[in-house]
Order: sequence, then C-alpha cells, then structure tokens
Amino acid sequence: MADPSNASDISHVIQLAVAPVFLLSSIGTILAVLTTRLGRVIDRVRVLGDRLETAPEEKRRGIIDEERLLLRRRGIINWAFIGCTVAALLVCVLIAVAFVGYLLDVHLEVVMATLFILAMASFVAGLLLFLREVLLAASSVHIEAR
Amino acid sequence: MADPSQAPGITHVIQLAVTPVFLLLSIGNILAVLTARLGRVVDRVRVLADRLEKAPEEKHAAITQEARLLLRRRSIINWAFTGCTVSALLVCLLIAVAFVGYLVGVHLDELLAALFIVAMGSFVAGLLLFLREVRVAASSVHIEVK
Repeated sequence: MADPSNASDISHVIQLAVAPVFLLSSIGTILAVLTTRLGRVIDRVRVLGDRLETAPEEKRRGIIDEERLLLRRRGIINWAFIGCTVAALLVCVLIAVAFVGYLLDVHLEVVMATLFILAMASFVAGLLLFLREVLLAASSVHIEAR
Repeated sequence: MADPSQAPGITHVIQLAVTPVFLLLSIGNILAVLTARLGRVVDRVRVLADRLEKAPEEKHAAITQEARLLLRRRSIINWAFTGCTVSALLVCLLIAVAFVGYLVGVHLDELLAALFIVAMGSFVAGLLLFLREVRVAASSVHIEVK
C-alpha cells in the first residue's frame, strides 16, 4: 500500500482482499445452514404448541420437555448467528481497512492481522455453538422415538 | 488498468475482478438468508392475521403483540436488504469502473479503493441491521413459550 501513482498497488490490495472475500462467502454458507435449522426448530415448536392445547394430561409432560429442548436449541442457534454475523462484520471492516490504508498510504498490517484474528475467533465461537446445537439435536432423538 | 495497447492488460483487469465478483457472491448469500427469514416472518404474520379473526377476545392482545414484533422485524430486514443491495450495486459499479479505466487508459485506483470502502460500509450497515433483527427475534422467545 504505497504510492498511489504506482499502478500495481491497487491490484496488490485487491488480490490480497481475495482471502477475506472468500471468508465472507463461507460465513454466508454457514448462516444459510443455521437459518434452515432455526426455521425447522421454530416450526416444530409451533406444532407442539398447537398439540399441547388438545393433548391429554398424561402426554403434556413429554410435549413440554421436547418444547423446552427445542427452545434451548433455538437459543444456541441465535448465539451462533450472532457469532457468525460479527465475524462477517469484522471481515468487512478488514477489507475496508485494507483500502483505507492504500488511500491514505499508511501501513495498517497490524490492525488487519488483529481484525483477522478477531474475525476467526468470532467464527470459531459461532461454529462451536453450532456443534453444540448439533450434538443437542442428535441426543434428542430418543425423545421423539417413543 | 494500464495502457490498452499492452495486450496482457485486460487479463490483469479480469484477474483483479475476481475479488469483487466473489464479494458479490457473498452478498448474494446474505441476501438469501435475509430472504428466508423475511419469508418466514411474513408467513407468520399471515397466520396470525387469520387466527386473530377466530380468536376469543382475551387472546387478541397476545396475537397483536406478536404481530407487532414481526412487523418490526420485517422493517429491519427490509433495511438490511437495502444495505446489502446497495453494497452489491457499488461492487458492480466498481467492476465496471475497473474496465472503463482500462479502456480509456486512465488510472482510477483511488476511485476503485473508495468504491470498495463505501461498498464495505454499506455491507457493514446491512449486517448490523441483520444482527439487530436476530436479537429482536431471539428476545421474542418468552412470547411464544408460556
């Protein structure tokens, strides 16, 4: 990111931006997966909510247990959403910083590296929550299989 | 974006266009997530509207409250759509500018950098709105549980 009169500089920055841009696209893919899962969880909660109104007393317990588990999954997915979205935000800021550095002719490598690390940490947090949600969903099979 | 008489010039510009093109893909991913969420919100509002007609008087307040929250989410998602779409537009413009610069033989590096920064700013705004919508949706749990 030096002298703007040098034609190859902006191309250098643009080439560097390929990695964060790909990262954005991966985060978007994970967000799409989370959206699908969240949608299914909520649909199921609504089905159970309707069923609860007509269910006989002895079945209520099972329905409420399942509902509680689903709401826990929903909470975890929402936090995973926040982790992934914050990661995407940080990556966008990172890309903007790269071009600001080019325009102002300043070296912002340390800021960029820090943003990359923070973005990855946030994405990792989101993925860990996702993993937790997947494990929780997997362990809940026996509830429905009766 | 240099001298058009130089044959490998266009190859270089095309290579540089890879980054913004992938950026468009990432923005498209986020738009797909927003579309899925908006679709669900709108479907739910319609279900609630039908239910309101048949519901007994004492349930009206709860249904209206949920519908109001959904409409708020709808408007936040619409603003997020606007942010992401403006960002995609700017990225398209950026790609066009890169090729115009090549054809006309002008250095538009600063303009390209500025477009990148503004596009990222707009995308960040869209993601912040998305984050807000996720929070609003998460906070609505207690309404449905009971």
